[in-house]
Amino acid sequence: MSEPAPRPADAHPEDPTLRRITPVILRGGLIVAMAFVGAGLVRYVGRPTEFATQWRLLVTGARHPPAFSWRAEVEAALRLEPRGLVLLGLAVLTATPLARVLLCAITFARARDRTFVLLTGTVIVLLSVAIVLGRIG
Amino acid sequence: MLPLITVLAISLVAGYGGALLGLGGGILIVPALTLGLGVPIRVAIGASLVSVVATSAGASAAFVRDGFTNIRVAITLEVATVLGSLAGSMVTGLITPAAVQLLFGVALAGSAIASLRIPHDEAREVVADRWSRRLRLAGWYPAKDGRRIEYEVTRVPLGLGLMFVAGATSGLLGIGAGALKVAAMDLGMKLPLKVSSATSNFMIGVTAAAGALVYLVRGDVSAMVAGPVALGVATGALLGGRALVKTETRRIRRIFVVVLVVISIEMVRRSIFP
Repeated sequence: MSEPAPRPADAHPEDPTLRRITPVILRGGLIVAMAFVGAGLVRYVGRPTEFATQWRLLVTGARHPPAFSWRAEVEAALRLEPRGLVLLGLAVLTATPLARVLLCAITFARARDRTFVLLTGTVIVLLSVAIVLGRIG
Repeated sequence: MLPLITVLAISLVAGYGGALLGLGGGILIVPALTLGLGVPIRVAIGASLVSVVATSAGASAAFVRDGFTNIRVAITLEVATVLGSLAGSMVTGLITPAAVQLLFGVALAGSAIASLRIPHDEAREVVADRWSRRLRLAGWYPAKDGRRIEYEVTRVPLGLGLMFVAGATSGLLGIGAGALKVAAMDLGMKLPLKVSSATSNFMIGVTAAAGALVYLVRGDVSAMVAGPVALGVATGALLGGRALVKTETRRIRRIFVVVLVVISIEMVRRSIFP
Protein backbone atom coordinates (compact mmCIF):
# COMPACT_ATOMS: atom_id res chain seq x y z
CA MET A 1 0.00 0.00 0.00
CA SER A 2 3.01 2.31 0.07
CA GLU A 3 3.80 2.65 -3.64
CA PRO A 4 3.85 6.21 -4.99
CA ALA A 5 0.65 7.34 -6.67
CA PRO A 6 0.93 7.54 -10.46
CA ARG A 7 0.15 10.86 -12.10
CA PRO A 8 -3.65 11.06 -12.51
CA ALA A 9 -3.40 11.55 -16.27
CA ASP A 10 -1.44 8.30 -16.66
CA ALA A 11 -3.27 6.22 -14.08
CA HIS A 12 -6.06 4.75 -16.24
CA PRO A 13 -4.57 2.96 -19.28
CA GLU A 14 -7.91 1.21 -19.89
CA ASP A 15 -9.75 4.54 -20.30
CA PRO A 16 -9.55 5.01 -24.12
CA THR A 17 -11.13 1.60 -24.81
CA LEU A 18 -13.86 2.02 -22.21
CA ARG A 19 -14.63 5.60 -23.25
CA ARG A 20 -14.98 4.50 -26.88
CA ILE A 21 -17.08 1.34 -26.48
CA THR A 22 -19.18 2.02 -23.34
CA PRO A 23 -21.32 4.80 -24.94
CA VAL A 24 -22.02 2.48 -27.91
CA ILE A 25 -23.25 -0.28 -25.56
CA LEU A 26 -25.38 2.12 -23.48
CA ARG A 27 -26.98 3.91 -26.44
CA GLY A 28 -27.34 0.69 -28.46
CA GLY A 29 -29.04 -1.12 -25.58
CA LEU A 30 -31.36 1.83 -24.98
CA ILE A 31 -32.37 2.09 -28.65
CA VAL A 32 -33.04 -1.66 -29.04
CA ALA A 33 -34.99 -1.73 -25.74
CA MET A 34 -37.09 1.31 -26.63
CA ALA A 35 -37.83 -0.15 -30.09
CA PHE A 36 -39.32 -3.28 -28.44
CA VAL A 37 -41.19 -1.20 -25.83
CA GLY A 38 -42.53 1.17 -28.52
CA ALA A 39 -43.68 -1.76 -30.68
CA GLY A 40 -45.43 -3.31 -27.67
CA LEU A 41 -47.21 -0.06 -26.82
CA VAL A 42 -48.40 0.30 -30.43
CA ARG A 43 -49.81 -3.24 -30.19
CA TYR A 44 -51.58 -2.28 -26.91
CA VAL A 45 -53.19 0.68 -28.73
CA GLY A 46 -54.66 -1.82 -31.18
CA ARG A 47 -56.26 -3.80 -28.32
CA PRO A 48 -58.05 -1.15 -26.19
CA THR A 49 -60.57 -3.50 -24.57
CA GLU A 50 -57.91 -5.98 -23.47
CA PHE A 51 -55.77 -3.15 -22.07
CA ALA A 52 -58.70 -1.64 -20.15
CA THR A 53 -59.63 -5.01 -18.62
CA GLN A 54 -56.06 -5.81 -17.55
CA TRP A 55 -55.55 -2.30 -16.19
CA ARG A 56 -58.68 -2.62 -14.04
CA LEU A 57 -57.45 -5.94 -12.68
CA LEU A 58 -54.07 -4.39 -11.85
CA VAL A 59 -55.26 -1.25 -10.03
CA THR A 60 -57.96 -3.08 -8.10
CA GLY A 61 -55.37 -5.60 -6.93
CA ALA A 62 -57.37 -8.46 -8.45
CA ARG A 63 -54.42 -9.68 -10.50
CA HIS A 64 -50.69 -9.13 -9.92
CA PRO A 65 -48.36 -9.21 -12.97
CA PRO A 66 -47.00 -12.74 -13.54
CA ALA A 67 -43.31 -13.44 -12.85
CA PHE A 68 -40.91 -12.84 -15.76
CA SER A 69 -39.78 -15.83 -17.79
CA TRP A 70 -37.32 -15.36 -20.69
CA ARG A 71 -38.82 -18.26 -22.63
CA ALA A 72 -42.43 -17.15 -22.19
CA GLU A 73 -41.69 -13.51 -23.04
CA VAL A 74 -39.63 -14.36 -26.15
CA GLU A 75 -42.40 -16.66 -27.38
CA ALA A 76 -45.00 -13.95 -26.67
CA ALA A 77 -42.86 -11.35 -28.47
CA LEU A 78 -42.56 -13.65 -31.51
CA ARG A 79 -46.37 -13.81 -31.56
CA LEU A 80 -46.24 -9.95 -31.44
CA GLU A 81 -48.16 -9.90 -28.16
CA PRO A 82 -47.85 -6.47 -26.51
CA ARG A 83 -46.86 -7.76 -23.05
CA GLY A 84 -44.10 -9.96 -24.50
CA LEU A 85 -42.69 -7.15 -26.67
CA VAL A 86 -42.65 -4.63 -23.81
CA LEU A 87 -41.14 -7.02 -21.24
CA LEU A 88 -38.50 -8.22 -23.69
CA GLY A 89 -37.56 -4.57 -24.27
CA LEU A 90 -37.40 -3.93 -20.52
CA ALA A 91 -35.25 -7.05 -20.05
CA VAL A 92 -32.82 -5.80 -22.73
CA LEU A 93 -32.79 -2.41 -20.98
CA THR A 94 -32.05 -3.99 -17.58
CA ALA A 95 -29.29 -6.12 -19.11
CA THR A 96 -27.59 -3.08 -20.71
CA PRO A 97 -25.70 -1.96 -17.56
CA LEU A 98 -24.66 -5.58 -17.03
CA ALA A 99 -23.18 -5.59 -20.55
CA ARG A 100 -21.10 -2.52 -19.81
CA VAL A 101 -19.84 -4.11 -16.56
CA LEU A 102 -18.84 -7.16 -18.62
CA LEU A 103 -16.98 -4.85 -21.01
CA CYS A 104 -15.13 -3.35 -18.02
CA ALA A 105 -14.23 -6.84 -16.77
CA ILE A 106 -12.82 -7.86 -20.17
CA THR A 107 -10.91 -4.58 -20.56
CA PHE A 108 -9.37 -4.82 -17.07
CA ALA A 109 -8.47 -8.48 -17.72
CA ARG A 110 -6.65 -7.49 -20.92
CA ALA A 111 -4.83 -4.77 -18.96
CA ARG A 112 -3.90 -7.45 -16.35
CA ASP A 113 -5.45 -5.33 -13.59
CA ARG A 114 -6.37 -8.14 -11.19
CA THR A 115 -7.89 -5.85 -8.53
CA PHE A 116 -10.41 -4.40 -10.96
CA VAL A 117 -11.15 -7.78 -12.54
CA LEU A 118 -12.09 -8.88 -9.01
CA LEU A 119 -14.21 -5.77 -8.41
CA THR A 120 -16.09 -6.02 -11.74
CA GLY A 121 -16.48 -9.78 -11.19
CA THR A 122 -18.05 -9.07 -7.79
CA VAL A 123 -20.55 -6.66 -9.39
CA ILE A 124 -21.46 -9.29 -12.01
CA VAL A 125 -21.97 -11.93 -9.30
CA LEU A 126 -24.15 -9.54 -7.29
CA LEU A 127 -26.29 -8.78 -10.37
CA SER A 128 -26.71 -12.53 -10.89
CA VAL A 129 -27.74 -12.85 -7.24
CA ALA A 130 -30.52 -10.32 -8.02
CA ILE A 131 -32.14 -12.86 -10.34
CA VAL A 132 -32.03 -15.54 -7.62
CA LEU A 133 -33.44 -13.13 -5.02
CA GLY A 134 -36.26 -12.18 -7.39
CA ARG A 135 -37.21 -15.85 -7.74
CA ILE A 136 -37.21 -16.29 -3.96
CA GLY A 137 -39.47 -13.22 -3.70
CA MET B 1 -56.53 3.71 -23.79
CA LEU B 2 -56.82 6.61 -21.35
CA PRO B 3 -54.58 5.04 -18.65
CA LEU B 4 -51.84 4.35 -21.23
CA ILE B 5 -51.89 7.93 -22.51
CA THR B 6 -52.06 9.27 -18.94
CA VAL B 7 -49.08 7.17 -17.78
CA LEU B 8 -47.08 8.25 -20.85
CA ALA B 9 -47.91 11.94 -20.24
CA ILE B 10 -47.15 11.76 -16.51
CA SER B 11 -43.85 10.03 -17.27
CA LEU B 12 -42.85 12.69 -19.77
CA VAL B 13 -43.47 15.43 -17.18
CA ALA B 14 -41.69 13.40 -14.46
CA GLY B 15 -38.64 12.83 -16.68
CA TYR B 16 -38.55 16.50 -17.66
CA GLY B 17 -38.97 17.76 -14.09
CA GLY B 18 -36.54 15.20 -12.72
CA ALA B 19 -33.86 16.34 -15.18
CA LEU B 20 -34.38 19.99 -14.20
CA LEU B 21 -34.08 19.14 -10.50
CA GLY B 22 -31.17 16.77 -11.02
CA LEU B 23 -33.11 14.08 -9.17
CA GLY B 24 -34.11 11.75 -12.00
CA GLY B 25 -37.66 10.83 -12.89
CA GLY B 26 -38.20 8.09 -10.32
CA ILE B 27 -38.77 10.40 -7.41
CA LEU B 28 -41.78 11.93 -9.22
CA ILE B 29 -43.14 8.88 -11.01
CA VAL B 30 -43.82 6.68 -7.96
CA PRO B 31 -46.16 9.17 -6.22
CA ALA B 32 -47.81 10.03 -9.54
CA LEU B 33 -48.63 6.38 -10.22
CA THR B 34 -49.70 5.48 -6.71
CA LEU B 35 -51.54 8.64 -5.63
CA GLY B 36 -52.81 9.62 -9.08
CA LEU B 37 -53.67 6.33 -10.76
CA GLY B 38 -53.98 3.82 -7.91
CA VAL B 39 -51.14 1.59 -9.12
CA PRO B 40 -49.85 -0.75 -6.34
CA ILE B 41 -46.66 0.71 -4.87
CA ARG B 42 -44.45 -2.32 -5.65
CA VAL B 43 -45.53 -2.17 -9.32
CA ALA B 44 -44.89 1.61 -9.35
CA ILE B 45 -41.40 1.09 -7.87
CA GLY B 46 -40.64 -1.64 -10.42
CA ALA B 47 -41.63 0.70 -13.26
CA SER B 48 -39.63 3.53 -11.75
CA LEU B 49 -36.45 1.43 -11.42
CA VAL B 50 -36.66 0.43 -15.09
CA SER B 51 -37.07 4.09 -16.06
CA VAL B 52 -34.02 5.00 -13.95
CA VAL B 53 -31.95 2.47 -15.94
CA ALA B 54 -33.19 4.05 -19.20
CA THR B 55 -32.42 7.60 -18.05
CA SER B 56 -28.95 6.62 -16.85
CA ALA B 57 -28.08 4.82 -20.11
CA GLY B 58 -29.12 7.86 -22.14
CA ALA B 59 -27.47 10.49 -19.99
CA SER B 60 -24.23 8.79 -18.97
CA ALA B 61 -23.07 7.85 -22.50
CA ALA B 62 -22.01 11.43 -23.30
CA PHE B 63 -20.30 11.94 -19.92
CA VAL B 64 -18.24 8.77 -20.40
CA ARG B 65 -17.25 9.73 -23.94
CA ASP B 66 -16.24 13.26 -22.88
CA GLY B 67 -14.06 12.06 -20.00
CA PHE B 68 -16.04 13.37 -17.01
CA THR B 69 -16.86 9.91 -15.59
CA ASN B 70 -14.24 8.27 -13.37
CA ILE B 71 -14.80 4.64 -14.33
CA ARG B 72 -12.44 3.23 -11.66
CA VAL B 73 -14.27 5.14 -8.91
CA ALA B 74 -17.60 3.95 -10.34
CA ILE B 75 -16.59 0.28 -10.40
CA THR B 76 -15.20 0.48 -6.85
CA LEU B 77 -18.33 2.07 -5.44
CA GLU B 78 -20.72 -0.12 -7.45
CA VAL B 79 -19.81 -3.09 -5.27
CA ALA B 80 -21.36 -1.26 -2.29
CA THR B 81 -24.22 0.35 -4.15
CA VAL B 82 -25.36 -2.89 -5.86
CA LEU B 83 -25.15 -4.75 -2.54
CA GLY B 84 -27.31 -2.01 -0.98
CA SER B 85 -29.77 -2.14 -3.86
CA LEU B 86 -30.25 -5.89 -3.43
CA ALA B 87 -30.85 -5.42 0.31
CA GLY B 88 -33.35 -2.59 -0.32
CA SER B 89 -35.23 -4.55 -3.00
CA MET B 90 -35.63 -7.52 -0.67
CA VAL B 91 -36.85 -5.34 2.22
CA THR B 92 -39.60 -3.86 0.00
CA GLY B 93 -40.93 -7.36 -0.50
CA LEU B 94 -41.06 -7.93 3.25
CA ILE B 95 -42.60 -4.73 4.67
CA THR B 96 -46.13 -3.43 4.19
CA PRO B 97 -47.00 -1.11 1.27
CA ALA B 98 -47.97 1.58 3.81
CA ALA B 99 -44.48 1.44 5.36
CA VAL B 100 -42.89 1.76 1.89
CA GLN B 101 -45.14 4.75 1.19
CA LEU B 102 -44.16 6.39 4.49
CA LEU B 103 -40.44 5.92 3.79
CA PHE B 104 -40.91 7.25 0.28
CA GLY B 105 -42.67 10.37 1.55
CA VAL B 106 -39.83 11.12 3.98
CA ALA B 107 -37.14 10.48 1.31
CA LEU B 108 -39.04 12.65 -1.17
CA ALA B 109 -39.13 15.64 1.19
CA GLY B 110 -35.42 15.23 1.97
CA SER B 111 -34.47 15.02 -1.71
CA ALA B 112 -36.59 18.07 -2.56
CA ILE B 113 -34.87 20.18 0.07
CA ALA B 114 -31.42 18.80 -0.86
CA SER B 115 -31.98 19.76 -4.51
CA LEU B 116 -31.99 23.44 -3.44
CA ARG B 117 -28.36 23.09 -2.28
CA ILE B 118 -26.19 25.54 -4.17
CA PRO B 119 -23.54 23.57 -6.06
CA HIS B 120 -19.90 24.46 -5.57
CA ASP B 121 -16.91 23.42 -7.62
CA GLU B 122 -14.03 25.32 -6.16
CA ALA B 123 -10.54 23.86 -6.35
CA ARG B 124 -9.74 21.79 -3.25
CA GLU B 125 -6.51 20.49 -1.84
CA VAL B 126 -7.11 16.76 -1.46
CA VAL B 127 -4.65 14.21 -0.16
CA ALA B 128 -5.31 10.72 -1.55
CA ASP B 129 -5.87 8.01 1.07
CA ARG B 130 -4.14 4.63 0.81
CA TRP B 131 -7.20 2.97 -0.79
CA SER B 132 -7.26 5.62 -3.48
CA ARG B 133 -3.52 5.19 -4.17
CA ARG B 134 -3.81 1.40 -4.23
CA LEU B 135 -6.81 1.46 -6.60
CA ARG B 136 -5.36 4.33 -8.68
CA LEU B 137 -8.58 6.34 -8.39
CA ALA B 138 -7.12 9.79 -9.10
CA GLY B 139 -8.13 11.18 -12.47
CA TRP B 140 -8.66 14.22 -14.65
CA TYR B 141 -11.44 15.86 -16.59
CA PRO B 142 -11.40 18.30 -19.50
CA ALA B 143 -11.88 22.01 -18.78
CA LYS B 144 -13.80 24.24 -21.21
CA ASP B 145 -10.51 25.56 -22.64
CA GLY B 146 -9.27 22.01 -23.27
CA ARG B 147 -6.89 21.83 -20.26
CA ARG B 148 -6.77 18.67 -18.15
CA ILE B 149 -7.88 19.35 -14.58
CA GLU B 150 -6.32 16.69 -12.36
CA TYR B 151 -7.83 15.64 -9.04
CA GLU B 152 -7.23 13.22 -6.17
CA VAL B 153 -9.74 11.02 -4.33
CA THR B 154 -9.89 10.42 -0.58
CA ARG B 155 -11.96 8.73 2.18
CA VAL B 156 -12.86 5.69 0.04
CA PRO B 157 -14.25 3.63 2.99
CA LEU B 158 -16.64 6.49 3.83
CA GLY B 159 -17.70 6.57 0.18
CA LEU B 160 -18.35 2.82 0.19
CA GLY B 161 -20.52 3.11 3.33
CA LEU B 162 -22.55 5.99 1.94
CA MET B 163 -22.96 4.17 -1.38
CA PHE B 164 -24.43 1.16 0.42
CA VAL B 165 -27.04 3.50 1.93
CA ALA B 166 -27.69 5.10 -1.49
CA GLY B 167 -28.07 1.67 -3.09
CA ALA B 168 -30.46 0.50 -0.36
CA THR B 169 -32.55 3.66 -0.84
CA SER B 170 -32.67 3.00 -4.59
CA GLY B 171 -33.76 -0.63 -4.25
CA LEU B 172 -36.23 0.14 -1.47
CA LEU B 173 -37.95 3.13 -3.04
CA GLY B 174 -37.31 2.72 -6.78
CA ILE B 175 -35.33 5.91 -7.21
CA GLY B 176 -31.84 6.54 -8.58
CA ALA B 177 -30.70 8.16 -5.29
CA GLY B 178 -28.42 10.34 -7.43
CA ALA B 179 -28.51 13.24 -4.96
CA LEU B 180 -27.13 10.96 -2.24
CA LYS B 181 -24.45 9.52 -4.52
CA VAL B 182 -23.31 12.95 -5.68
CA ALA B 183 -23.17 14.21 -2.09
CA ALA B 184 -21.14 11.15 -1.03
CA MET B 185 -18.55 11.73 -3.75
CA ASP B 186 -18.54 15.53 -3.71
CA LEU B 187 -18.63 16.13 0.06
CA GLY B 188 -17.34 12.76 1.31
CA MET B 189 -14.63 11.71 -1.15
CA LYS B 190 -13.83 15.26 -2.33
CA LEU B 191 -14.25 14.58 -6.03
CA PRO B 192 -15.00 17.61 -8.24
CA LEU B 193 -18.75 18.19 -8.62
CA LYS B 194 -18.73 17.62 -12.39
CA VAL B 195 -16.96 14.28 -11.95
CA SER B 196 -19.29 13.35 -9.05
CA SER B 197 -22.40 14.06 -11.15
CA ALA B 198 -21.11 12.16 -14.20
CA THR B 199 -19.87 9.19 -12.15
CA SER B 200 -23.14 9.08 -10.17
CA ASN B 201 -25.12 9.03 -13.42
CA PHE B 202 -22.99 6.14 -14.67
CA MET B 203 -23.42 4.13 -11.45
CA ILE B 204 -27.16 4.76 -11.17
CA GLY B 205 -27.79 2.45 -14.14
CA VAL B 206 -26.14 -0.56 -12.52
CA THR B 207 -27.65 0.19 -9.10
CA ALA B 208 -31.15 0.48 -10.53
CA ALA B 209 -30.61 -2.57 -12.77
CA ALA B 210 -29.83 -4.69 -9.69
CA GLY B 211 -33.11 -3.62 -8.09
CA ALA B 212 -35.02 -3.82 -11.38
CA LEU B 213 -33.88 -7.42 -11.90
CA VAL B 214 -35.31 -8.41 -8.50
CA TYR B 215 -38.63 -6.67 -9.30
CA LEU B 216 -38.76 -8.06 -12.87
CA VAL B 217 -38.12 -11.67 -11.88
CA ARG B 218 -40.47 -11.36 -8.87
CA GLY B 219 -43.32 -10.21 -11.16
CA ASP B 220 -43.49 -6.63 -9.89
CA VAL B 221 -42.87 -5.13 -13.34
CA SER B 222 -46.10 -4.65 -15.29
CA ALA B 223 -45.71 -4.17 -19.05
CA MET B 224 -48.75 -1.84 -19.05
CA VAL B 225 -47.12 0.47 -16.48
CA ALA B 226 -43.35 0.06 -16.92
CA GLY B 227 -43.44 0.26 -20.74
CA PRO B 228 -44.92 3.75 -21.02
CA VAL B 229 -43.03 4.89 -17.91
CA ALA B 230 -39.63 3.89 -19.35
CA LEU B 231 -40.38 5.47 -22.72
CA GLY B 232 -41.92 8.64 -21.24
CA VAL B 233 -39.32 9.26 -18.51
CA ALA B 234 -36.37 8.66 -20.87
CA THR B 235 -37.84 11.06 -23.45
CA GLY B 236 -38.75 13.64 -20.80
CA ALA B 237 -35.28 13.45 -19.27
CA LEU B 238 -33.71 14.02 -22.68
CA LEU B 239 -35.85 17.14 -23.22
CA GLY B 240 -35.29 18.33 -19.63
CA GLY B 241 -31.53 17.93 -19.98
CA ARG B 242 -31.57 20.17 -23.07
CA ALA B 243 -33.76 22.77 -21.33
CA LEU B 244 -31.36 22.76 -18.40
CA VAL B 245 -28.50 23.87 -20.66
CA LYS B 246 -30.47 26.52 -22.55
CA THR B 247 -32.77 28.20 -20.02
CA GLU B 248 -32.80 29.85 -16.60
CA THR B 249 -34.37 27.14 -14.49
CA ARG B 250 -34.19 28.47 -10.93
CA ARG B 251 -37.88 29.45 -10.84
CA ILE B 252 -39.04 26.15 -12.38
CA ARG B 253 -36.90 24.25 -9.88
CA ARG B 254 -38.53 26.09 -6.97
CA ILE B 255 -42.01 25.28 -8.30
CA PHE B 256 -41.07 21.61 -8.64
CA VAL B 257 -39.63 21.59 -5.10
CA VAL B 258 -42.92 22.95 -3.69
CA VAL B 259 -44.81 20.27 -5.66
CA LEU B 260 -42.48 17.57 -4.29
CA VAL B 261 -42.96 18.70 -0.69
CA VAL B 262 -46.77 18.72 -1.10
CA ILE B 263 -46.65 15.21 -2.62
CA SER B 264 -44.41 13.94 0.17
CA ILE B 265 -46.84 15.24 2.82
CA GLU B 266 -49.71 13.52 0.99
CA MET B 267 -47.78 10.24 0.81
CA VAL B 268 -46.99 10.32 4.53
CA ARG B 269 -50.61 11.22 5.35
CA ARG B 270 -52.00 8.35 3.23
CA SER B 271 -49.56 5.87 4.73
CA ILE B 272 -50.73 6.75 8.26
CA PHE B 273 -54.44 7.33 7.45
CA PRO B 274 -55.12 5.10 4.41
